[in-house]
Amino acid sequence: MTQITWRRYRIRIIALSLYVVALIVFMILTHHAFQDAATVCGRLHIDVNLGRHCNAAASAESHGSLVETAIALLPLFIGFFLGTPMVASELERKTNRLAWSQGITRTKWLVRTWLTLAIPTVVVMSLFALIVQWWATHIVTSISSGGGLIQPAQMLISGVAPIAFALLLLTLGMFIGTTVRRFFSPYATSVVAFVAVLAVMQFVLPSLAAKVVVPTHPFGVTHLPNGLRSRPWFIKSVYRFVPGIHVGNHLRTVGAVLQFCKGNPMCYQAHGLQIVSLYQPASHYWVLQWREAGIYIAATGVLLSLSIWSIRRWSA
Amino acid sequence: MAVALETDGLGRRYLTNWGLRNCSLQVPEGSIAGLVGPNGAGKSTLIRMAAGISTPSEGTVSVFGERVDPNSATFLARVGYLDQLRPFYKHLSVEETLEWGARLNTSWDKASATKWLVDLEIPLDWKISLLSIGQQAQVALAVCMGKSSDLLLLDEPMASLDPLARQGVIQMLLDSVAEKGTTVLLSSHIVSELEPICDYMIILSKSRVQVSAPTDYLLANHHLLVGPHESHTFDSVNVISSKIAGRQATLLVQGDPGGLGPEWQVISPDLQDIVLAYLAKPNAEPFVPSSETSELNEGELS
Repeated sequence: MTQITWRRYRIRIIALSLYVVALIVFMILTHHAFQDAATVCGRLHIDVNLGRHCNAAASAESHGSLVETAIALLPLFIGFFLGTPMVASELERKTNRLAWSQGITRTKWLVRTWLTLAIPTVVVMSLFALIVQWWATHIVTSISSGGGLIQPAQMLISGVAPIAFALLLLTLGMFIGTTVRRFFSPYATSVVAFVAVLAVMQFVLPSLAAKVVVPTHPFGVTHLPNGLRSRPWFIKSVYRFVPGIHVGNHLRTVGAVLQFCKGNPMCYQAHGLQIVSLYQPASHYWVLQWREAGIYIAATGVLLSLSIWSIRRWSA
Repeated sequence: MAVALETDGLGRRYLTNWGLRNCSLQVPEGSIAGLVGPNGAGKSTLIRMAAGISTPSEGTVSVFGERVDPNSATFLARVGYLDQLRPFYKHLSVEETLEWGARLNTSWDKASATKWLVDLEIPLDWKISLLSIGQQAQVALAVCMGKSSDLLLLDEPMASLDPLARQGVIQMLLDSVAEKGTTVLLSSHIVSELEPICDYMIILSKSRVQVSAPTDYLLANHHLLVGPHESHTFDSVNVISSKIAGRQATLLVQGDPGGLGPEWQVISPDLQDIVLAYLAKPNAEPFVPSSETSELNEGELS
């Protein structure tokens, strides 16, 4: 069973391994580039984060972004090249009829096949996560002193969440391969589903821990409290009524005040409206990581159960 | 009579069309049952449902008295299935395929499976994809036989095989039945190959059962009548088919032709005559005697 699965995926596994090795090489190269940029631009007393003021930093940032994107794609590739064909190709080639008429139940067959790919996925992604963590931390430190990894780009690739995300996409691909057939391509469906999961999680992730609310001065100046000095994750700015202030006039909704004041900050203030910025502080990094990973693992469990349910009822 | 395979009102619908409908039959334990019918008659559908690969849309199918459950290890251990399409993991070698079979089955007769292929001079270290279609068919049979099942469901096992290889397969099936008491249900288009080995016959046509009876009983209850074609109205027999050549009519009838006049010559048909007659008349009255009736009559015959 294990041998069959390994033999089936040999080329894909080798290709994905080469991709991981290439990523590691690029991480090392960009790490050196950032160190050099920090040295050069630091000597010029210019903040490296502002790449437009320093060519070396701009180049390093550009390459760093490419590597970040390439790292973020790895779980999607695992889902697409290993997860989706896990059952889909068996059904397509009808080898499931051969496998399911042997002495092993469909449940055992599916779980064993899944484990054969899920275990190496978790092991490789865990080891890779350690390297990514080292890389991302050093890059962020090079960019901004005292910076954390709690930024959308770094949250996507660092920590424990990507490991669970790869496992989820592997299982989601398998589930789609198990259930989608005849009318839709499981591969096209997988791409849509993977991107949808990614989009939904980018929307959900900032809400997985309580946000810090910082009022903005009517003229747009935000004074960050001490807890947010270490490069927090800015989520968004919103209008809201100042808590505890009861506005006794007819403008009872934010929309009504905005319409009435027509962009006049003093008018907003007069009607008890303020702009607040929502942040996730750097201290929430691991809370968000573990909660995100928890959601992925729970979803993996659900999808695995649904796949088993589906395969047990499958009929030619 | 112990029953290895039993169906009751079995049917399978594909979207709006029925692949098989109202199929009720019994295959006795230890028999070799032949399943014949034109393309699209429902042979593969019936075999797939018996193997648990397809789920019935209506009715039931049981194996050794238990409802078919593809998620039961006990059921899977007792049933061997050869798919018509011969699906394989073609990147594996023949030997690896046999090892794979050994790992997935508790009772695996590797020695027999290997010997069968070695005798046929099929290179065990070759990848399946490099073998000829006929050799692949032999490997598929070896995997199916290696499982040492109590019931073998073989969908066109002779297809793609040369005449010599067919004889070998027939002998292998006969040996398996004699040594292990295996029950075999095999489908084929070639009736002449089934006649010497099948002690039970099932004829499907237009997605329904036309005949399901022991071969001897089937032969004993059908007759060829040769006589004048002018008028032939019979009360005692059921005319299945008739051919007219000049003034002479040849009828295949079911029933006792004892009371017919001297102008009629009664000849024993062979299995092919009966099968072809039923296939040509898909609306003929089904010949599905109860197991008690056929056993009783077989006793009388002997």
